[in-house]
Amino acid sequence: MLLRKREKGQDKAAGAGAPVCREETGARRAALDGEKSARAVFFIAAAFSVVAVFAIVIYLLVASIPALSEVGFFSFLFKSKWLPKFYEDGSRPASETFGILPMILSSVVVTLGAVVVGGLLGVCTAVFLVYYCPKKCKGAYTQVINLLAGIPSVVYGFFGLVVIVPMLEGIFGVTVGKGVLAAVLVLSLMIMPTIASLTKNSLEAVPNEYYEGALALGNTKAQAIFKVCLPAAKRGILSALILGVGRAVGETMAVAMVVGNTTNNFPTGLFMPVATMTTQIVKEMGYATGLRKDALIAIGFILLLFVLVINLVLTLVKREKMGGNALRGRKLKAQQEEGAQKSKAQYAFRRGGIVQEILKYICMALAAVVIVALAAMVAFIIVKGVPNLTADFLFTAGSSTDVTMPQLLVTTLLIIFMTLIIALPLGIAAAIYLNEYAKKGSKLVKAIRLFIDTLAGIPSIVFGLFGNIFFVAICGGRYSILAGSLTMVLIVLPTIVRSTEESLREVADSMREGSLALGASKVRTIFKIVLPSALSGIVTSVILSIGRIVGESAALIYTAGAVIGMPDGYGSSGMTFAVAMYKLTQTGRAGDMEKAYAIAVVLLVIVVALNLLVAFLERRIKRKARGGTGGEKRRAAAADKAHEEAPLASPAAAQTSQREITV
Amino acid sequence: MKKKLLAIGLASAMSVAAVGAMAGCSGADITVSGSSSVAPLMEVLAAAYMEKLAADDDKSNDVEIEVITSDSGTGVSDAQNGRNDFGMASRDLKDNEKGSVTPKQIATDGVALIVNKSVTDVTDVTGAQVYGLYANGTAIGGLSAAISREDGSGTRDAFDGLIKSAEGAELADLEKFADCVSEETGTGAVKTQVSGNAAVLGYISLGSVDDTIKTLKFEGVEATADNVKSGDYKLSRPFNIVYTAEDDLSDKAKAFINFIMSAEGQAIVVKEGYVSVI
Repeated sequence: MLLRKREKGQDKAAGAGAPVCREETGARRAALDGEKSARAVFFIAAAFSVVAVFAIVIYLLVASIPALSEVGFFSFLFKSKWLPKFYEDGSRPASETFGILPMILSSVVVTLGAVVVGGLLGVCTAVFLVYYCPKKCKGAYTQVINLLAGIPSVVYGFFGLVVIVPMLEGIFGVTVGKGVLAAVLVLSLMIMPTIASLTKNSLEAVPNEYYEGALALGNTKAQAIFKVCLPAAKRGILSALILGVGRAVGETMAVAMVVGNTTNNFPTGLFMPVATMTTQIVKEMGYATGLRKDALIAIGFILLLFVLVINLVLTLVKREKMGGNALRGRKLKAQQEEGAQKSKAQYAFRRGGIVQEILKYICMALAAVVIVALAAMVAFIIVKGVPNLTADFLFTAGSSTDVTMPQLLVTTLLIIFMTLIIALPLGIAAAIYLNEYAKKGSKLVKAIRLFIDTLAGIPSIVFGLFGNIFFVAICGGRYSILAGSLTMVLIVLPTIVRSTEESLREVADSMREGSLALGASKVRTIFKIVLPSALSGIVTSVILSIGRIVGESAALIYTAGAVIGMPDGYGSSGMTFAVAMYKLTQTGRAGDMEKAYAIAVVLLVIVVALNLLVAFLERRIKRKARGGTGGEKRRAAAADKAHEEAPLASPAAAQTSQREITV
Repeated sequence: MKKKLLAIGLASAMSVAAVGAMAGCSGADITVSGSSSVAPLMEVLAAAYMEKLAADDDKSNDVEIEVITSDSGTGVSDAQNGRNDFGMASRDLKDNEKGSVTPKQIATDGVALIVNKSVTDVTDVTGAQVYGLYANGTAIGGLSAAISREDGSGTRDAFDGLIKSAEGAELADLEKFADCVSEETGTGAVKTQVSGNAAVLGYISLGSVDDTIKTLKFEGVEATADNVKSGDYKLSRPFNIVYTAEDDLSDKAKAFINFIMSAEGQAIVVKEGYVSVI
């Protein structure tokens, strides 16, 4: 309102001063109107994420109310029997037949196990990578970790199914290797790259002086690392672990393949077959009608609450990190100095740090284990899969009973196209609002960012449920590629907003000022000057989104469906690569497993290709930034920023790596 | 400003809705609803029939068939209330349903008990033994673990209703399986488990049996299509379609039923792993 008044005043002044220019003033007013509506459009796009989060929460809540009220909230959460069939045949009341306690506990146990194992592996890998890895292999190792973070979860699940489960049966001599332990191991492998990459960022953000100071005080290298650097990066590591919790608790397909899936079992043993919240949903959703479907959605809602709480904790941890770390660092240093002095005095003749030396070797060993395990996974899939890439499978059109590559490719491409057509303008506009229009650091921007982050943290099975009760319902209750695409829009939107925003931030202010000074309107400046300079960032976000869509399975199986055959268009149902892979391991007609291997290879190849593309683009951006106009200033600004942020375990770095994970 | 915002909001909401509505919500010529066990077969039959009619140049006889999955009871009540052309039920009609609707059996679903090919000490099992393994974890020879399908699967539905203890308790009445029972969400996953593990008993639809696993006799009878047809093999159940009366069926629905019962339709039944009725 204030803005408008000032504009009016200006107009008046202009009118009074130079009546000749009245026509021009009208044009200006029109331009201003245009400006305002442009601003409004950008704002709506930015607010879309907020709307989406609310829509998901409210829709799931409303859809679960019938179940929650019929069963009773506490009966639902704390009764230990899930027996819908007895409710459906009328022999027992709802309050006795819809208890999900075993699933909640199974989810918690599997998640915690995965975070302990995966966290240990990830942190050790990061320590190795930052401090012990020879310079030559460091780049390659980092690339490998990034690549692993991009491998779709179905591939991890498949590896678990065909390698880890039989291996466990062999080692422990159990009849069936599926169960809690198998799920923990698969999830650990899956979240390890994420944790490693985030931990690496926060370790690298620990000021070098800490390390050098510790060495100068007579510590060994291992002591400096484990007693100074690692504690200094504690917050960053903690947020990496929490992010790992969020991923593990929401993972569906990979867990469903190895966890044993028996409803109503409590996770009382390593090889107990259990059903987690997510696997229960994916297992029964296809059949469920009536109250059972409502109850499954209610499980999704409870899962959503879990994840929202985890997100909140993550935000709090990050915020605290911003506030107190500089001081903490200083205090830590003082403490360390004191400790070092003491130890120097006390153990003048002992080299000391035996514990840290041991830790060092443990780290190296675990880093080696990680790389060997993951290399084994990739090698195994390629060796078993490549022979199955037959011309028949790759090139024949297939039929409604025969899965072949062209139909999967067409479905995947259709979804990619429709998703990007909608999500890209929306995401870019949102990023423009956040970076070009909104007041930096205002509460509104913070709120919108919070919602975008929340959206990014919601598990894909929850998106799948939302898509099922919203988009599929709109489409007349039928699974369709369109419903799948619309669901995917919500999933890739945060990636696009964040990635675009980041590249917009890179565009030097002098370019904007120059354009405005030459008389261009703000909208014109954005579209003609700012966006073209940020193009490579936008392209990166497109690639990341494609990666996400290609690897997605849980969100698509109950929105786009899993029908075999060439899709007719957006109205028909169809399978993407990842969904087909999951389905093939379940249906098991002759040759299906071989096809699953072949698809795994294709997925790996796509992930590698997309990763290389991103790496290439990022290098180009960097080179451009160094060479281009305003590079000097930007570099100086970047240096300033780096300096400023160094003790804060660099949120910017954390953001980059978050982008990497979402691939 | 506010109005404009509202207008833009409305416009975007409408475009989303319009895009959604485009997703094809056309009415079908024949609507079939009911049992989730019969539905997968019905979908394949419907697809084959539609494809057959669409293959000629004559567009006038093309049909659109919609298969809605729910359960047998809903299929029957939909048929009673005229909410479909005919319903699907994976069981015989109950007494209270018998007067108002007519059943017609289109296929038989047989369930085969499968084990690893290396298993030699167990070849024939009784219902009570199988019940003991699933309910109490009592091993049958070397078979000490078992696999079930997920709740909602038609095969599980049949299996749980047909396996009874010596006292007559059905698996279906059980609250919880023994700890040695894991669940798989597909025939393939069951077969993979069994073919890789000599201590596991599983069950699959008779038509999905292949040479990667071997079947067990049930109460002395070999699991074959002929034994299912003759009724000697007890692990089987009918797939019925139900309608109020033959005369009430539309011509298009009648033609579709004729297709299902024809040699061509029954060949599809066999191909999908069920036992034909002719």
